[in-house]
Amino acid sequence: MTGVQTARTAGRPAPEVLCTAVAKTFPGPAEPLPVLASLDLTLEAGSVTALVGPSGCGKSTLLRIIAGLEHPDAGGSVRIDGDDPLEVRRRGELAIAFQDASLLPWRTAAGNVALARRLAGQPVDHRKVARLLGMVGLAGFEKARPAQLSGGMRQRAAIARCLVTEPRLLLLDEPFGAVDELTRRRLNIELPPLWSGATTTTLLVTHSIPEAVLLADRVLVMSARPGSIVADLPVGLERPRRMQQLHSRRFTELVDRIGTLLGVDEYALGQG
Amino acid sequence: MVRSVVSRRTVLGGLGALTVGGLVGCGNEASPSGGSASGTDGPAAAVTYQLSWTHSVQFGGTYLAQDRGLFRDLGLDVSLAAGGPNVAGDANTVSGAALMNVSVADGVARSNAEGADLVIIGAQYQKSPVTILSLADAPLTSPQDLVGRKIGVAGTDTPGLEAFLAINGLTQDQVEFVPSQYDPAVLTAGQVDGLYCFYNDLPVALAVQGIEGHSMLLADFGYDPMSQTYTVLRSSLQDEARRDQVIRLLRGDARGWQLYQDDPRAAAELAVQAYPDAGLDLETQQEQATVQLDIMFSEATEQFGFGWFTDDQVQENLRLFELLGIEGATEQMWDRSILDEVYRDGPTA
Amino acid sequence: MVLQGEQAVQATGRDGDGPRPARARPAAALRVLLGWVLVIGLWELVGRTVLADRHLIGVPSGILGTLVENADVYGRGLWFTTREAMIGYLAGNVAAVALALLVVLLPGLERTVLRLALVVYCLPLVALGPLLRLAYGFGDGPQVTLAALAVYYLTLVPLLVGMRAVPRSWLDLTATYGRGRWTTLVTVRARAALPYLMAGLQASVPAAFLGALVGEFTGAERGIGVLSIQALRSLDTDGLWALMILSAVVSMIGYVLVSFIARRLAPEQPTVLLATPGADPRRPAWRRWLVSAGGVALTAAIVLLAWAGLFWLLDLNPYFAKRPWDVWEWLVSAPTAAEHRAELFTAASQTALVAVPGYFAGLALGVLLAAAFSLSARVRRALTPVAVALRCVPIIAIAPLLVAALGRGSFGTAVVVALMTFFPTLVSCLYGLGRLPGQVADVFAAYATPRTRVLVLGRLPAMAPAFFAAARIAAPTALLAATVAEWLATGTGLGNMMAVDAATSRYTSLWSTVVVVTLMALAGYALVEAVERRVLAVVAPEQSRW
Repeated sequence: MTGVQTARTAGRPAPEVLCTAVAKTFPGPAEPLPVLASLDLTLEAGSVTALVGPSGCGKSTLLRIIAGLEHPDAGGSVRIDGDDPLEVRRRGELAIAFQDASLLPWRTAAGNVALARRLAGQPVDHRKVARLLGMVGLAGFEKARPAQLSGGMRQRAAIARCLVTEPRLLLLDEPFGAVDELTRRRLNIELPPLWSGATTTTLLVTHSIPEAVLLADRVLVMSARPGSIVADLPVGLERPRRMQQLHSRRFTELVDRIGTLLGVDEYALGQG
Repeated sequence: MVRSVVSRRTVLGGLGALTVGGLVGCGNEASPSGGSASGTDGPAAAVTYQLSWTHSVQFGGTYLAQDRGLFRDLGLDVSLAAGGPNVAGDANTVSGAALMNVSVADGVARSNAEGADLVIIGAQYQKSPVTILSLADAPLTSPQDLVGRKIGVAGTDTPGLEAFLAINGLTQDQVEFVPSQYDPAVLTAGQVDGLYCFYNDLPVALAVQGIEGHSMLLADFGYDPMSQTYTVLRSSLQDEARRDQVIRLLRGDARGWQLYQDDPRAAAELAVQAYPDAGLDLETQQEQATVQLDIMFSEATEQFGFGWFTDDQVQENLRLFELLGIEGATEQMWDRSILDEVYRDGPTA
Repeated sequence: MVLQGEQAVQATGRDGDGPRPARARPAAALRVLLGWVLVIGLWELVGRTVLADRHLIGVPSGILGTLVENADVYGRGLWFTTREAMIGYLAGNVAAVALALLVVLLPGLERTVLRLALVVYCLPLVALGPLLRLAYGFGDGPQVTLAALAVYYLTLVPLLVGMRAVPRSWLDLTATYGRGRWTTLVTVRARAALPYLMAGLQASVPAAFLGALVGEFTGAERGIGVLSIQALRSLDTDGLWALMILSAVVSMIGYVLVSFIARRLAPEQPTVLLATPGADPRRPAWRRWLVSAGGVALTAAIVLLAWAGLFWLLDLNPYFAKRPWDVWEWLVSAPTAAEHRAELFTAASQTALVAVPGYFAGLALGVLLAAAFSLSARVRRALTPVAVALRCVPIIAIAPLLVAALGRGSFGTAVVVALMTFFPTLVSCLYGLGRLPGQVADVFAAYATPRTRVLVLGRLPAMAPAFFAAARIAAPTALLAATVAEWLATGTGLGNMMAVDAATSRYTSLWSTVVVVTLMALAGYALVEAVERRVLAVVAPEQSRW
């Protein structure tokens, strides 16, 4: 799988992401709506971090802030290896998979994947595009337009689009939300080797606790709005991950623990 | 026939009110009055008199007649319809929207060639106002001066200019025609050496702007179509009631022009005052009012009355039509009986 | 002076350029002021030196003097024309919305309704003006009607595009609850069409004013049109320019007002429209051909019937208002018909020679300006007034200047055509450029894609439906513009022919020419539509069905 890598990124180590005093308040209809409470966060170089939490707790907002698509409230900052996120985007070293696949309707699946290479300033490599599409199970659908694909297929195409540029910082916002359970499990196992390792730092937002544990080195549990990090749990399972690990004690313990944290949180929310 | 016209038009007026006019509150309150010529008696017969251009002292005598109540004294309620770039004057008379319109002989002949049956019953101008205007420092004073020059001419006037050249033994390839509308700027901007226009129009504008120009009246060189003609439908002359209206309209108008002759500047003042929204400039109007005396009044009008025309003029115009390629016109296109009626007791209406 | 489309363009402001340091406002204002002073000073200087006494352009000081001196008369004239324009604008746009509703509720009628609407839009002024005056008599009727006719088509076409720009899922939603077209229209389509409607409403502001103004040429007694004829004939260049500037200012105010309302009403981001391509059921070619030929025949029948019927109802005199059979005789059955056809053919090819390059130049200018506006707020601020002014100044006013600058050849005429067609394209395309879905914009932002690239790869394809709507409108407009330019400057082609026919009472020839112009416009429209169908099948398949 590592053969996918190119010389361009091969030599560069994965970056460290440093969030300092990041908070976000949106203008509400009546009064300002705080979405993220001030939080400090470091994503270690080469780590895979999963972000779980109740709906509307600001997970996606945090992701967008790290990407620099949204600015934190005054005083907060995001640094990626000391750089502004914009710099990283300009170098084509960042990729995001959004909740909705957001493919360009007028481009084919392959065209959408290839577009990312062009946007990142990389030469378009059709064989690589085809290989990635094959890997996400879209072989034979290269020429299909987004409207002709199912929701899950569109999301897989979007994942292929993220990976095709070999980003150093990979931000995934519920990338498997619309993917069927069987495929999702398969992707959970097959895709991580493409992005973990020495060259990519990954942040993943997900609703699925088992998926978080299976994919991540570290799971961050967020509270309800305004979001803050209530637990920071190292996973400690060996890589590469395999299906069997789903049944290991460590795995089930972690899943239970996170579930409890979220459940308690929801209970508290109900009381409030 | 006339009745059904009116009723159908009323239906349509209603339709118009439902669509656009209804939203506006306009459109049908002033429906065309030409069609309502139903009876001879009654308070005052409503008639529409179609002018040949937008309001200006060019129609000063008519305004005087209107202002001094000369039409009303004759039992007419006259509406003056303005002309303009997109107004078909003859067609308004043919359709019955106007009882009479001001036109030009060759235009009337063309209309008749296309199936209209219009008759000229008088002519406000004794001489065609068509002129070639040039700048005073390079004046065009005779037809021969046109040779090798650029002359601005509207597409609609091209046949007239061609006929003028032919009358004077010139050919079209000796003069360069530049398509233009009646915009004097082409002359001042040096795009043309001469501009085909009207004696009492652009030359006056030029003079008022302080630009010295020279005007060569084509009438002085053999091209003299009868102009500002009183034009009516032949059927109007045959219908007793309408004929009577025509006589009264012409009489009132002639009386107005008699007043005008005495004091053209007063007519200019009236024009500016009566049409405050026409953008008329008093100085220009007074200048024009004076200038057009040249072509409106002559020995013939002194002797026979305003609007007079002679058999010689008719024959000359018929010859001109041949040059212009207009077919089918005969003496029948003119009828002096209305003038005879108006001036039964001498040259005063 | 803010063109619509801005909000969507700004949306990519979150591509993270970082908050820009607030510019020192007084300094910027001063720069703008200085710029204006410089422009006006230069204008005055040129007018007083190089172009002195040529009466081609008015000079600022003279224009100001005229405005002050005639404040009363001009003010009233402006009010009359503005009122006619406003009523026409209202009526025309109400008609456009009504027609759009009809088409949405009865999609089978779409082609026929659009063809009929096009025929009415294509009717040349020289034929229509006198007819309207005959029908209305005195008053504002023709002015208001011409204003309404000038706008309704500009609104109808983009509105229909907007009604289709609906995500499939929204339609499925109403369908799920068993609701029909009406509910879909009210809850979904009306909302989706709003930005497109606004584009139409904006583009039609200057058109309404121009329509009213030209309507005053049909023998009105007051208004800016009457005043400008007077100014033109009396060599009152400053007065003419003052009037034109007044027209431009009024149009601009209306334009900015509509754009302000548009921003209030439709601020949200467009969503991704996913529609499967090739929605056209693959019928055999002969059947499709038969259907469209049938449609054309139906339209023709309706037009002929309306033509004869309306003229009968109005009892228009056949001397002036020729009937279909008169035209048939002129073009086909008369012994001299071949000559007539040859004459028309020559004129038509002369016109096409001017209209076609002018059409493409106008489209290109519209798209380029829209692209430049969307890339640079400064360009947009600087050029919007110029664009609006160019559109709402009657061509007769600037024609002398254009002709002096460009000559009377095909080039000059083509430029005039381009100037008269680019504006609706500009407005429509600006809206179109703003139709890039927010999520897709995010994808570009994730790679910090420069604006120019987002434009090429994202905004231009997203703009396609709006562009083609504009291109369809521009086809008849270019033809009409070409005839006007011919009448004014070249003295050739169909425009000159119609003017000469009207002046020499050759009404059968005139009506035959009108028929030819209409057919040419329809043909141009159909060509554009064919190209559009091919492109949109790929770029915006949702446009190919209801």
